[in-house]
Amino acid sequence: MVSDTGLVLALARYQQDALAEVYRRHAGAVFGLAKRLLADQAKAEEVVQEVFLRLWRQPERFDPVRGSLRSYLLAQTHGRAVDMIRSETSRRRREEADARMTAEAGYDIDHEVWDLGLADQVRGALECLHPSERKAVELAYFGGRTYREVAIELGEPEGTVKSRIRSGLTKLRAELTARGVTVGER
Amino acid sequence: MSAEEQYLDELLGAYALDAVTDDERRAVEEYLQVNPRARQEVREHRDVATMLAWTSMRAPDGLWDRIASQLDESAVAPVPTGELAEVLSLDAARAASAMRAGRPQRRWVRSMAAWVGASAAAALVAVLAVVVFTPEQTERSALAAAVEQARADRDSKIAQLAASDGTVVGEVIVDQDGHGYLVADGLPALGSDRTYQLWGVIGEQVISLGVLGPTPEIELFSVDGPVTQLVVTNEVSGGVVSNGNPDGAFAGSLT
Repeated sequence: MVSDTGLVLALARYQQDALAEVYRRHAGAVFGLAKRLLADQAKAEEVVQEVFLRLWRQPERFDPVRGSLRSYLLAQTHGRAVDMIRSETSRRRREEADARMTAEAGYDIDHEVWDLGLADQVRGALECLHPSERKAVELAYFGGRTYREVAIELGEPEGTVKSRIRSGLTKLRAELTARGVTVGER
Repeated sequence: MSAEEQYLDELLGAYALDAVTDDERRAVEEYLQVNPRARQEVREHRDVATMLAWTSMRAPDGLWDRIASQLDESAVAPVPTGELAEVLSLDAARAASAMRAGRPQRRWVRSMAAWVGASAAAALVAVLAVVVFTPEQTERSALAAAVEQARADRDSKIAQLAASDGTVVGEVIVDQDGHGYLVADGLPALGSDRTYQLWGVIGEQVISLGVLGPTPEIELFSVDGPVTQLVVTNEVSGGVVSNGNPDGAFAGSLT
């Protein structure tokens, strides 16, 4: 199978079939993250388009030394979705949708069709975090909030939340590694 | 560690999750430029975030069509199914190469550097690139036959790849249509964390022609321009986009 890096190299020569393969491999994850963050189908699709067109037009921005292609695409997705969330008009729409999501599902892991084995491992690792760390990571990553906003929402000092996010991510990595999950190769 | 470094270190987790303000993001990014340990930590945090976001949701129907309609080339983009099997087969590779004839080659050249023979000290400055056709996914007999056919064609150009001490480690044949074959029967096997990468010299440009893996045997590639020299370098697994590693490179001139 052609590696992700090989596909990106092919993009540099206008190989549309290479972009199609990248899409086949990663569009589900990109869309899933965008949808989760934005709680809006149309906006999520817009982000997916932007992310893949950006890869097509600027493949050199992906550096395999700095991480996997999926990690790169998801980072792009997260950044773009967060930009949308933080814009004033989107925020109003999101807050309405967010309230509905929270009421319905809370942490929405069971509502998505995750890769089953990996989803179990990630869920288990998350449960090993202290609840305050887990909440801080979830609000920051899936809520698209800054750590300062998370601090206000949780009624905690900013420095405490900042530390909890960092320690939470570090512990998650260690926990996933202990469970045999190779972090960073997806 | 200074108080400022400590402050920035504490921001790394939030930064990796895009959970900092614009001013904080700029400060962290300046810090990352000078601190490899911090860069590694951010990479690790982002890897974890990737795992959190892992999902096998299906993208909505029709979304690919909207993306494909905005691609720069006029050719119709294929539907994303399969594993690019058609690209990996030799016949299709030739057909694809023929279809590409006359299409603009996409390059980003950061600077030019003369890269002559096995001059290992030369800076490797690169542009990109082509699809790598892995031999595992091609018919071995068809490959061998194609190599022999290209080698017998008087219009083909051939280069002997050699180390700096003159030891020949392989042969490269490029036919008149730009189809290239690397027969790497003497390249020492690399560890799983390394890969060989093939580069071509066209004028003053050095172009990546493909990532070959740690144990290449017979590899296919294609070129669009008048390649005069070929170089195989030893890179980190996955290959590099530019600035190939000159240490221990193997090189040869097409004649």
